[in-house]
Amino acid sequence: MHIPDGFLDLWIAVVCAALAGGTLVVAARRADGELTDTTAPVLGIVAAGLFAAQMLNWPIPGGTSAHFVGGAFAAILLGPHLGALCVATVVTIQALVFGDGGLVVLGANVLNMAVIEVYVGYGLYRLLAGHNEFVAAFVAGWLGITAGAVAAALQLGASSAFAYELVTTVSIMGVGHLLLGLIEGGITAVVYRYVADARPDLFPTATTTEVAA
Amino acid sequence: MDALDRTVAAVSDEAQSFLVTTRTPRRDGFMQAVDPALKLVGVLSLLVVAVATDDLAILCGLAALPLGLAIGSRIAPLTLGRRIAPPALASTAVVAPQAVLQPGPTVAALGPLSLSATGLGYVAVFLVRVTASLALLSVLLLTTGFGPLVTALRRLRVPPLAITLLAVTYRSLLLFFRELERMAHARRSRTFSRGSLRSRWARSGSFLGTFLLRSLDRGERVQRAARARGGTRLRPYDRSGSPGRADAAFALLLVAVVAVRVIAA
Repeated sequence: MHIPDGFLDLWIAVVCAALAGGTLVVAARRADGELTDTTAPVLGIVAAGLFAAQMLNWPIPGGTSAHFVGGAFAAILLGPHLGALCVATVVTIQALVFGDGGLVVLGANVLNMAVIEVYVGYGLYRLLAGHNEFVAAFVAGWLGITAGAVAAALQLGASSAFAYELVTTVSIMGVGHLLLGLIEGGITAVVYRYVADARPDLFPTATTTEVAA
Repeated sequence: MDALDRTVAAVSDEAQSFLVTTRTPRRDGFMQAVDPALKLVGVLSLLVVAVATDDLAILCGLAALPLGLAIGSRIAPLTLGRRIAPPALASTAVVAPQAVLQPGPTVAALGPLSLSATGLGYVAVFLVRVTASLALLSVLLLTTGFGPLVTALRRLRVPPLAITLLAVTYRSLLLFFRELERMAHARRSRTFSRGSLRSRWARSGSFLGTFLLRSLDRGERVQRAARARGGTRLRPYDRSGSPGRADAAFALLLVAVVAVRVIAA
């Protein structure tokens, strides 16, 4: 889902950068109480852990494999604002160190993976967590990544530099990620269950009973 | 050894060698001598020119420029080629159907499919633009270490919080790749059977969960240490010197490229 330079029109890249930058500024302000001079390293270290975790391949039927993206999981674990900052850091490192995704379109990649995926994933988790947390984590991972892919498809479809029509990009990327997202949802749910069993106190939504236990 | 073990071994080796053995930024070459802040702004400007033009001649010039810069920076063209080949090939696969899909005068026919001149022109412009962009970004990354890049961001007034996050994440990457390797090794030593897909998923889930918990624990330890020291915010320091010949030459190059683009428009 990393868009390289040359795929998006300049104006779309600028609009996406403004939206992503604005959202991250708001996220940093909202997380102000949690994000101090001494807590910032925790976020950096979790971002490094997420970066490494993204590189792991998971077995899927047919002998192939898929990998974890973790935007929704970061939001569930850290809360949406810190989760967005964490994933934005990962996406930026991927561009500035490994050259994954472009520099002019960095804002668009951050918007899709660190803003839309994270906030949509978190919103769905909060909506469903009251009924079943495992299912909520699954849906957050599944539809969070699909929402990010649809946003990328909209940007690509609206760009004159990329000749495919909006309908084509949205159907290919949307349907593709709706299917691939099932794996992301599965991984998110499995990891969520393990972490929630081991450290329920870590989740911002944890009840006092869980924390005391 | 299952998919997770294989990835840990492959990824860990690859990422560690990438992070540790990248020596090109330390070579004595042209782009290495350019001030990182100027280099970052300059490459970004060249990328903007590349993204904003449809003129094939200008794009070809922009694609040739990083090759010249790489040679002047003592980077083998093969190294540059290896770096840009995978995304360039993927882009070719994505955009190639447009040569057939776009209407226009037929240039050649491949069975029932006819290649149009308009389509071929579009594919050529798109691929040269993407290749030029990939090559420009690669030259920047191959000639600039992450430390100088962070210094450049600081000098360009990027918010300190963003810089702290990037620096801490980058510093911790090697640590976590090694941690993954150790955990995979321990897991392999304890595993006697491959198991069903369901059990492999459950094992992978506990593996990744444990890894993420260890990341958090480590983060909390670093946080306590940081609090004991009175904070971790990176202190800005002044490393700005007077511009050198390489800076002036790069700035002239930028002005020339922008001037050509403006005149061509």
